[in-house]
Amino acid sequence: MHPSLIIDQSSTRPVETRRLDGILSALMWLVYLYMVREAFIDLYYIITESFEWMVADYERPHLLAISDLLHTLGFYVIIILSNGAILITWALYNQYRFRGLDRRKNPKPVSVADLAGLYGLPAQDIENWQASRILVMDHHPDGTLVRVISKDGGQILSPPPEEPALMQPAVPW
Amino acid sequence: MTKALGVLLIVTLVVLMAVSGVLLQYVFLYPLFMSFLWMIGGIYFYWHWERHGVRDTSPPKIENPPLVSILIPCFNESRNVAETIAAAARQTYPNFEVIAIDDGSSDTTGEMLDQLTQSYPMLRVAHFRANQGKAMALRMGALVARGEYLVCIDGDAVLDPDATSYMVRLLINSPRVGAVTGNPRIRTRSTLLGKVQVGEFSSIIGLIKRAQRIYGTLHTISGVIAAFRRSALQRCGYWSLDMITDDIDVSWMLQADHWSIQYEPDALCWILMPETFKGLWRQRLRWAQGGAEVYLKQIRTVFQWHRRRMWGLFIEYSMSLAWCLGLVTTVVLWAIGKFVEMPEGLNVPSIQPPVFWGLFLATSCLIQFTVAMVIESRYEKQFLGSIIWVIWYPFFFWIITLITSLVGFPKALFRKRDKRAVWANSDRGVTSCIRP
Repeated sequence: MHPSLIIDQSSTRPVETRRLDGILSALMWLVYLYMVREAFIDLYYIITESFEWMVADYERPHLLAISDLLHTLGFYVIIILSNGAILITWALYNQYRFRGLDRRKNPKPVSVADLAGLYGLPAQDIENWQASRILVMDHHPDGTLVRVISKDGGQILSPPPEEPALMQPAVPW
Repeated sequence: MTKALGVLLIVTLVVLMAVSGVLLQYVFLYPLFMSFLWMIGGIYFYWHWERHGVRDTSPPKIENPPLVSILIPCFNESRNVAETIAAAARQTYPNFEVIAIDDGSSDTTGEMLDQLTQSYPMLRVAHFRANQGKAMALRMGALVARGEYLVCIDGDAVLDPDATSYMVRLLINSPRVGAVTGNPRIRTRSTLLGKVQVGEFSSIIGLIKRAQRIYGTLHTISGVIAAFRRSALQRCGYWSLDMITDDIDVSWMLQADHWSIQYEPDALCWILMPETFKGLWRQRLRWAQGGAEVYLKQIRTVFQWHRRRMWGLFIEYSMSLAWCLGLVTTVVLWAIGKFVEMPEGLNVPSIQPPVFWGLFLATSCLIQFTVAMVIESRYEKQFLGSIIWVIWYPFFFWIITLITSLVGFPKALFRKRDKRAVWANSDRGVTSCIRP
């Protein structure tokens, strides 16, 4: 990567705006931490109850606070792992099934005649355009190509006016 | 008729979920499970395809390299076009031509391109007298191109020197591959929006593309950097002139015609992105509308057996749309329930998610970003720092995605199909205005 490709002109922005970006982002992280507070509270209960149970011969921790969480988490983990297993099985199946196979032959490169057929243009004109370095193209508002000028050769090429070239090829479906 | 079918499908899905009482669960669990699916797919892609790469040593060597045509449609790109052409001309691939298509620019782009032909012998230029839109520019570029392989980039994009070699290698090596999409990297990083998008492009765009490659079909190539086999395009009729997002449309057309689309993360392309809210909104709305247009176009034929390969892609897109509609429906049902007694299945007592759902969602999103950034750090070293800013993504960008989807779908529904899609004025980052 060329470092010069990165355009970071933050320093040209007002200091207040940059500070605001930072403050707002910090606030968003706080919102996120607020959302995870329940998890921290439950974690606190687990640690303190377990400690009391082990050290102070306290009653067995009930762990009710986290049972819902563990149940929900377990369910989600099963679904996530199942989805992942299906995806990877599918990938492995495809690798095994199609290994070394090229059922499609290398397609024939598109020729000028193919292009001429698709667009309804004279093949010779297309060949001339492909040989030219600078072209000027005129289109009708409906997309029809009405005139092409080759600037480098000073040559003017155009389809017959009574039979304008249609640039809307017939799509095969 | 086909549009009605598309709407009916999504609405039926949402109504069924609402009646059966699972709508709220779907709204919260769909993004959670998709997030992990993308992560697993992305990690598998990395494990299988990327980790043994030779990125730091040299680009792939191709024997008897065929001619490649690099197509660059330009519309009012006088600020960027010299840099874009210079980068394209620096390709390490040994046999290529560059074709810039000046799409009726009203600034000095045309004159600049003519002058640049004197500096770059491989550069050719096609001028349009009037603006015709990007799809027509690409069509005309393909018409006058001599190469069987076409690399297409935008007029403000800077192509990495090895990008063409990496992409064309995949097209040459497998006759099934009809297109290859590259790895767009964001240059504009001056504002908060710019910085969030740096993370987004790796997490959302990069990771999803990797995962979609594992299950076989890509929702879209990146229009800013993609390579095509011309014979594949020829079969499909090239780019559609009336679709607002030509890249999504051509991706679905190629895959529906049984061509494979590959993702090549080594093919880097440096791009400018919006850094203002207005610019971002316009861009995302265009993406949402374009996706909906393609969905409504393809629904006619997607249920045919020989298009079964598209079913996964179609289901994923339908479920995403159903998620957007489902979220809104949940809020509406909750609001109505405040005034009217709702039947059992449609009663939403609270729109506040159970406490752990929000936690799981936000955490899974942040884990997804971390996984993506670790994978992507291979391509850009100082990039892990942008994780500070991605906290905005689950809160702000999801809402933008939701709203643009809800606005874009009706726009696609009521847009006249024969109306030509033309260039929109785009924001290329606030800093691009002050660059020398």
